[in-house]
Amino acid sequence: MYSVPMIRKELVAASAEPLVLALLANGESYGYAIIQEVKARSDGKLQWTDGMLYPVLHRMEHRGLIKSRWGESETGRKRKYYSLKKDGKTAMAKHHEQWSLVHAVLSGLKKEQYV
Amino acid sequence: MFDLEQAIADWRWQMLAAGIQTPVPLEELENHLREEIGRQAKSGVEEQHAFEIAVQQIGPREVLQTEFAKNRRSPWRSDDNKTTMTNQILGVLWLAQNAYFLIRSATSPVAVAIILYFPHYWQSFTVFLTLLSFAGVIGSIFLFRGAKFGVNATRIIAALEFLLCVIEYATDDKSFGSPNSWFGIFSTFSLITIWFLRSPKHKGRKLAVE
Repeated sequence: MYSVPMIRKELVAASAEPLVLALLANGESYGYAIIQEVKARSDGKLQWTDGMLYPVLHRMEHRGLIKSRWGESETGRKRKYYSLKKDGKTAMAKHHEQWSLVHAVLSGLKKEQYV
Repeated sequence: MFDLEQAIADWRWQMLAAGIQTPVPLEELENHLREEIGRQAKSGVEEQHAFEIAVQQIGPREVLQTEFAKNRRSPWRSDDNKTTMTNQILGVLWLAQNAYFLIRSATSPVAVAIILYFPHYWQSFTVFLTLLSFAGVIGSIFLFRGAKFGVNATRIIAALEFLLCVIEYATDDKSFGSPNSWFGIFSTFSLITIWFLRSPKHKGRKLAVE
């Protein structure tokens, strides 16, 4: 059976921000859960180096796309939760538009090749 | 015998040595590490092995360090922040100048009312200055908050105030300490404002998709 190869690291890096934004649009979350969710949804094909997510999150927070608060995990340890801000929603919409466009162009070209 | 707490403490030291700051990033990374170890352990992996897998997944410290270092660049060196700071300082000074104008002309509301109905060259000048300085106050607040609108509005207002101040300064007594010598200072400041104002790229870049 045909299987999608692991996604290249450039694409992983480029898709980190839109994915995090889209994930947080479903409600607040924290680093570990975000990574697990992306892994699960991509069948493990989208693998982040786990630690790399945090600087990305911090940058997004600094740019005002997301905000964070300290909460507690079930085991009582401190845990940092992130959620979407208004600018983050706008950014998400922009990302979505651009990725959809790329996808449309790509699949349009592919279709032509089969005609 | 493998000691998980000791292993985590050692890992923390390595991260610290790599320049990853406490408390926030390291705290977050450690929480992540513990969650991963917990998950591995739950699925039956032996503790030491779980620790090794988790450390590997978090990534080598050199790579993390480079990534975190991107966030640590001095805020004063960043162009965005310089713009924000310039505009905030100008916003405050600009607010002061316009508030002064406004108070000065608004202290005699009766006079303003009379002036409105009997416009004369100097009197209409005062009315115009009142309206202009009121717009200036509003503009400077927007400027301080980093809105693009504030920059454009302030540019126009500053240009008008510069002209008015020059006229006022040129047509009246210039001995220092008289109200009109202040107009010399104000006109210079207006020019400086126009010169130094930068459009806040900050706001636009925030949303830009990189």
